[in-house]
Amino acid sequence: MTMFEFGTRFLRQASLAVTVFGSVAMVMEWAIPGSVGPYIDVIPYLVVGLSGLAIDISMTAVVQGRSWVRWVVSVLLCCVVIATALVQFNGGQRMSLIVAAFLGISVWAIVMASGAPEA
Amino acid sequence: MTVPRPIAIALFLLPWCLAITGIAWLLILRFPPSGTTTFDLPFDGRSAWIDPFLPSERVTPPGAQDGNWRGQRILGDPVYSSLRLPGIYDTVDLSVEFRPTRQPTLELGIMRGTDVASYEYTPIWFDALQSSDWRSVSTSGSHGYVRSNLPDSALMTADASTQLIWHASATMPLLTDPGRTPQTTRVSLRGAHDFWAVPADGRVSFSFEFQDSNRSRGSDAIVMRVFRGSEELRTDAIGVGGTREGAMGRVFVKEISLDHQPPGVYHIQLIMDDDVFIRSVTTPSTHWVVGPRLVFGDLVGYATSTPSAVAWSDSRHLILETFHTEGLQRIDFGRDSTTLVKTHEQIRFDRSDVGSAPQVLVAPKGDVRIIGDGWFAFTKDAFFSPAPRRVTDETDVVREGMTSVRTPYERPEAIGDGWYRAHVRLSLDPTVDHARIALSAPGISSRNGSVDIRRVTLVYQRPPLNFGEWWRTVRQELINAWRRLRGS
Repeated sequence: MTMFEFGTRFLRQASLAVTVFGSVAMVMEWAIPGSVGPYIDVIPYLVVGLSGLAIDISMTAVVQGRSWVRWVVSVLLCCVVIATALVQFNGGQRMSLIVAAFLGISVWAIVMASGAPEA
Repeated sequence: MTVPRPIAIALFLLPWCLAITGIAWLLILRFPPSGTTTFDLPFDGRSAWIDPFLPSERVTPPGAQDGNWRGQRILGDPVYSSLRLPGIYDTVDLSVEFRPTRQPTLELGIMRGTDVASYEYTPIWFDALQSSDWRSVSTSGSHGYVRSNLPDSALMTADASTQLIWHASATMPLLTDPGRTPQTTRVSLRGAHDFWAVPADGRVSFSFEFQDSNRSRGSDAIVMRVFRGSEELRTDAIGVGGTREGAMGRVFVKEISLDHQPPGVYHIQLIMDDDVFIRSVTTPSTHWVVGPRLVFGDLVGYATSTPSAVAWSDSRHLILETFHTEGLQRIDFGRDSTTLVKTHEQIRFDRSDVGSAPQVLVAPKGDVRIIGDGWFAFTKDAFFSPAPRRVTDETDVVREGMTSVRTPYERPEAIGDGWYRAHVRLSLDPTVDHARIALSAPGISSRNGSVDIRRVTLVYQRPPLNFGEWWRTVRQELINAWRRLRGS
């Protein structure tokens, strides 16, 4: 397994795991208010997880040569992250996780610029 | 560069392990196997588990306070807060670090039901009992304090005039009097009253002359209940007045009577609003009193002259109020006196003499509401103490000649610099997510006092988790979640 393949698959697994954790925590908080909220902030986990999934989808599209998917996903990703950053501006933990999402976008942009292997 | 497949698979599993661990951590926080969850919190308004006290006009903003400490200062009474419950628990042990200033009594309460008036209070501070002149006693199933030079048995005294009670009940004295012909006492009492009587030859009988003044719209009802201790013996109810009547109603008689009753103290409770007057009381009981509320009503529409309102009382502390300008008057109580100069204003009136022997109270114009910490009789010979007086924030145990106090109160732990730590155990309703609590500091604003709160420790407890407990807890969580979804 090449490093690139490992990197993309790890990103997919990590994003899925973070998204599942954030989703389960959100459902817990919705069903039992106060069961999650006082301990952790769920939103950043969902943002980072969904951002990672979006990156994964767009990179897969690149690999498969479907460039229109790449641009649609990238626009949606940027909208989600920017909207979250604007709405959830307060909180050091939240900001640092959103910054991590931005870094992920940057990494993805670099990869795109350098050209990913095509199918 | 390549990554070996086994290493890659192990690394792929790593984020999933972290996610599962995170979910398990959240579940353990909500359902701790030990059955105990503890929070040790500075009371600075930043915790998600306890809200700062409100309303804001009775407290300072939580956080840094004058004097280089962090917490919140209470300046009014009462104040309210809310606990966010971390799950389904049976009890919470609440420890609070506080510093009272010019505040003799403090009570902490938890709301039961949905009525804001239904708080169940527990005493957490009584200045007078901090002295080494008093010692804590538990005897014969009762708890309290007695003078240091007295034996434990002083707590079980039958002499109600030397004992106080605070959130406790006393043993009912087994009293009885010989029979006699019923005697009539002319009064003008307004609204709900509680009568306490000694049976006369086994007979408890009260005949009241009622009159509906019809000053407010609608018909009225009178409910009469008779208790012996906590046992309710009789209930009766009648409707009076019509929905459109505006004139003073006719005077009518209603009697409630029980024969062959054992010795004791009988409580006759009259529940009615202030539209209904009691014009006379006829009873064969030699000893009977009213209290703690005594409302001398006016005689407008009933009589052309107003006799003085006179009562004998062992109260040490009274709250007086009149609602009419005709009720503005000088009131004498023993050797003390005060003057009502404003309507709809509560006046605190304290006796200055020593001891708690009954003294005569005279309100020449009547028309005054009196709430005391003792009992009221309309003749000196009729006076008796059905139960010990209640502790109030004005209680002076030395001046009043008290030798014992029945109370579940436990002295708080002194932690230095005037700070104390009190512990209270509160039972919890498993169907709610929040528990509303209140802190009562009677008379704090009149005394220019304060109570500083700087730290709270909450220990929530339920039995350790086994399958049965786990299922009971999860089931209650599901019921609560379903109730929330349905919006009920």
